[in-house]
Amino acid sequence: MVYFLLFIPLALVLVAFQSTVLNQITIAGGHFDILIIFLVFLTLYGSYELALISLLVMAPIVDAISGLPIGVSIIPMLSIVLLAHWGGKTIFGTRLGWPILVIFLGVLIAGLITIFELYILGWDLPWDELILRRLIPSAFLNGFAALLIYLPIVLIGERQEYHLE
Amino acid sequence: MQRIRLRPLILPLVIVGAIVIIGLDMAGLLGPVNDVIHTAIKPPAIFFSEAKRVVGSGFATLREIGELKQRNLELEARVNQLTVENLRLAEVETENAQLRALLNFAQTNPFFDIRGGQIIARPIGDSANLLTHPIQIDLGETHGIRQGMPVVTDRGLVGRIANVYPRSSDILLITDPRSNVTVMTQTSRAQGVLRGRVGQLPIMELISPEIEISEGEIIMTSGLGGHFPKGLVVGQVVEVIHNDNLMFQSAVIQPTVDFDRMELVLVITNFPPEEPEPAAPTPETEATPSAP
Repeated sequence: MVYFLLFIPLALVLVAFQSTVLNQITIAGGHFDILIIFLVFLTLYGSYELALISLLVMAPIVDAISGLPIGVSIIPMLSIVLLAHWGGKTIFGTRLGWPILVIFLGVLIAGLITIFELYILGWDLPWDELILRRLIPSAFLNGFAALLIYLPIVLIGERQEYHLE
Repeated sequence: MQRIRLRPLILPLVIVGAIVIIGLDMAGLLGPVNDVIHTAIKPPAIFFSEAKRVVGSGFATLREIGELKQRNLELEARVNQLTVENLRLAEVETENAQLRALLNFAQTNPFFDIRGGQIIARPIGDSANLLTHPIQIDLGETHGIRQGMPVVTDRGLVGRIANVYPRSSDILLITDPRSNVTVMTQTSRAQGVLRGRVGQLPIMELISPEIEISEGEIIMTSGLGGHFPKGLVVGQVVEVIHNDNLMFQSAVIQPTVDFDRMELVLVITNFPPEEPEPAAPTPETEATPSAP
């Protein structure tokens, strides 16, 4: 419960940053998604439970801010956390390639689930256009952003190990 | 143990919870939650919007700096171009004014050039001679110039043609020590001879002591001797030298022509002198004009 309360202001700040700044930046049709990157980071380098708590806080806020039915983003974000958790626990660990891959796949999967949910709820969306012109560019863009974010982390980690030796 | 038992339930609980939340929202029961979220997110949203605006304007400024540098270079080039053009136009304007003045002189003295004999000539160089300052003009024998022809500007007498080359000529200025011009005062009609001096203003000599002349009087050519037409303005009396012990009185004359700034002159071609000026030496070649 304490974690839950702590994540509320953090989630508000991240969502505000996403909606006011990052959503205004469009590169090749894609947007940066700091929420997905944060969730993957938290799952791989923090804890699975913390990631679940944070997604439960962030998802309703994202939905409320973006005008979607509240709760729609919970399952897409959950899929990202599960993917990162599963890969991290099994074969990929926290190697550099996995965060990048999980963010790339996570953006695609979360987007597809969101479109599917909205379709079920009766929203008439140009899904093919959304996938081709929004989801795929966003997946590549966030994968690249993940590389820029995780590379220093990996390098710093290696340097610390070197000093310890 | 309790934690291990809860873990498998998390996933279905979240999914079910999401579906329930969506259902509640679709039923319109989460309106207050929506309001709370919007109210809570307002401060960070305002903060990030302001930060974005500041950062955006910073980037815009950086971008503008590059554009301004380019613009500045273009404007500097334009300024240089306009400066050169302005200088050229100023030069043209000066030349135009001089030509107009010379034209005015030609129009007010039509008897000098009835058949279009007026020649406008430009000095093209100075001699290295320190004592005299012959001026060479770019008109010579091929242009109809002959030795002894009077040279004037709109402001008055300059001198006469001393040496003639095929395409250029030397002018013997009235300030040259070799120059003698018969002159008279405009008001008192006193006759005299204007003689050039080295490093000093020319002096009017052989003035009858009986005639009273005063400073400021205009001096003009008298026409005596036939070397110059009568009535060409020469200068102004700046000092009268009168001595009872001398047979004649003298007067220092300030020429009306500014020889240092003179650029264009007129040669009166329809006034042939009676005889060539003996004082003016004849050069052997055009490239080496004679020295005194």
